Amino acid sequence: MNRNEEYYALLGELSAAEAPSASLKKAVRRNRTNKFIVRPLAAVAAVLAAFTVIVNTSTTAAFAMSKVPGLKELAKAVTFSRSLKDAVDHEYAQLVDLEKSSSGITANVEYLIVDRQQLVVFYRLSSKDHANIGTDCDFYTAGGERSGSSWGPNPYELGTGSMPENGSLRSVYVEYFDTEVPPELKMVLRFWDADDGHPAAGEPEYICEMDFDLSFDPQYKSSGKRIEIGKTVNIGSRSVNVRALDIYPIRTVLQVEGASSNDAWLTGLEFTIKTPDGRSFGSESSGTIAYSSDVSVPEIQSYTAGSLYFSGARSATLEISGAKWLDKDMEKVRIDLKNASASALPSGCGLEDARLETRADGTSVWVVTFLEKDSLGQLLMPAVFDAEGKECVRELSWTPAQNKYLDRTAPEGFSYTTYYLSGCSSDTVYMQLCATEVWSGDIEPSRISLDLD
Amino acid sequence: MDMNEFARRFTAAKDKLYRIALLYLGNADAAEEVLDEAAYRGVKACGRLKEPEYFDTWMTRILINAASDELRRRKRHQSFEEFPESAAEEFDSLPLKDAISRLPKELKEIVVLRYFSGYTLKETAEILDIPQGTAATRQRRALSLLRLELGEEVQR
Repeated sequence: MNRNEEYYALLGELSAAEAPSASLKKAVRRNRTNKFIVRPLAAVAAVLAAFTVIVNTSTTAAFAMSKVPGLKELAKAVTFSRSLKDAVDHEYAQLVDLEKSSSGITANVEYLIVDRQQLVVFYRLSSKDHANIGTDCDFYTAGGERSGSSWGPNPYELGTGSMPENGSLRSVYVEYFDTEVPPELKMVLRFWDADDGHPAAGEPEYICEMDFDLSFDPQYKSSGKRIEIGKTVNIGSRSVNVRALDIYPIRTVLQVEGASSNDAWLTGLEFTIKTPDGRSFGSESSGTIAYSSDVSVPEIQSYTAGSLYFSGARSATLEISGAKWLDKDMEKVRIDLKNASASALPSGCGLEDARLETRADGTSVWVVTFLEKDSLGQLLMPAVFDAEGKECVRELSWTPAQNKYLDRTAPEGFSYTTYYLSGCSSDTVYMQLCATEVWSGDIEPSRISLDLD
Repeated sequence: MDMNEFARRFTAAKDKLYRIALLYLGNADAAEEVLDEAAYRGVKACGRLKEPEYFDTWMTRILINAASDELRRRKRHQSFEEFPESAAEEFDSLPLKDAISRLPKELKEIVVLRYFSGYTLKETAEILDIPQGTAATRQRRALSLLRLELGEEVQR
């Protein structure tokens, strides 16, 4: 068979290949899960998050709220976020314009958008030696402690869905839940060659690193107002006290608490804020909610949404359309890895498979697959503990898929998630449930009228 | 583009996207993972697609990027080797499917889009965000390496 004949044979072979049917369902579920991120308990806070980015601003930077040069380009770059777009349209952006170069890489920190609890940094990279540069970022206070809870660089919110190109505007987010953005921060950027892949843990192969000192205009940080609400809504058989709404320039924060008489903790809330002119404020893409505060403390919880700050609305309607609950008697799941069994899980969910793999490098990894109900979203917090409450794995990863040992597909309405526990020091481990019950959609939403004046 | 429209268009396109991933990565498991990742990226970004008529090229670009990211990841953790263009004998010794998977990235993209996905040279250049002349040059180099004699336009 010559090459052309091979080509037509391969074309025929491929034309018969059919895509798996679950890709879209998994993608939608994964996107919803990311909107219901449960803030870590105190015990797991050290495990999760902490990727802080420190941005430096010069004390001589232009802090003026108007006439900020280059805003047109910034406006184009933030179209993925209505809150940021509204902020830029109202010239709510701080020009930084700091530049550093090292090892053939130049970094320009160009803009900040900051309010009391959130910071977004916009910066650009260029290099003659590296076609694609990746960055890792950390933020530190003046005292040298890691600060904030952040994510970024996010390559999927600026650009075409892959690693940002050199020269394109990149963004990094830093959030503060229980405190405010400090008056000053230091950002440390560490650069790696994206064509070589990310430096492996413990074996840093960064090209170089740079740090930038930032201080923030108090005028930006003080913007915002609180709307006291003080009303109770019933969600199914349980109650939620809606205490207040904090409106900041780049986010809105709803303060709620589950009633102490409830038999479950509130772990997620779905809501939309609608203004009389027809605008809806929720998450940036769908108009529903973001995430909750510490689930172990049944006190005031914060849920974020898009910002109403620049909407000009004098009134609005809060619609609560869904909630997630964690049964107070079912917070922890005990997992017996050797026997592949787990203590009580939400109805329909189950531990499907657990086995120990030995990798080529000799390390042992427990591969544990759970069947999860799609309506609940994420079943377990990504942290593993022993009976004493200590972390007991060296490395934890997970994927929304079944492992290669299972030869069955999940039933309709269910999906698999597989966890990889590397270096696990115990055969019996504990994980935290995210939710045991969800209420949403098919019941009339609870509505509260808001006076925003 | 709203989610319903995205879901409708993605469902119609997913087989084609899967085949691109299959040829790009060489095995069904990896192709499925990449399709999943591309679907997720598309779901997150669909609100920014203002012109639905560009959905196919937009989604294909997302898939190609996801496949490239997966290949980069595999290169760090496994021995996966792309042959340089000078290694003509190595290409000749492989079945066509394997030879395509070993092509340098910029040539593989052209071959997959032009000759297995039905895109014209112009459309391929748009997806890859390169000049049409560059796409044509890479196409010639790829066909030469693979010893393929195919016309400029291939029927869909």
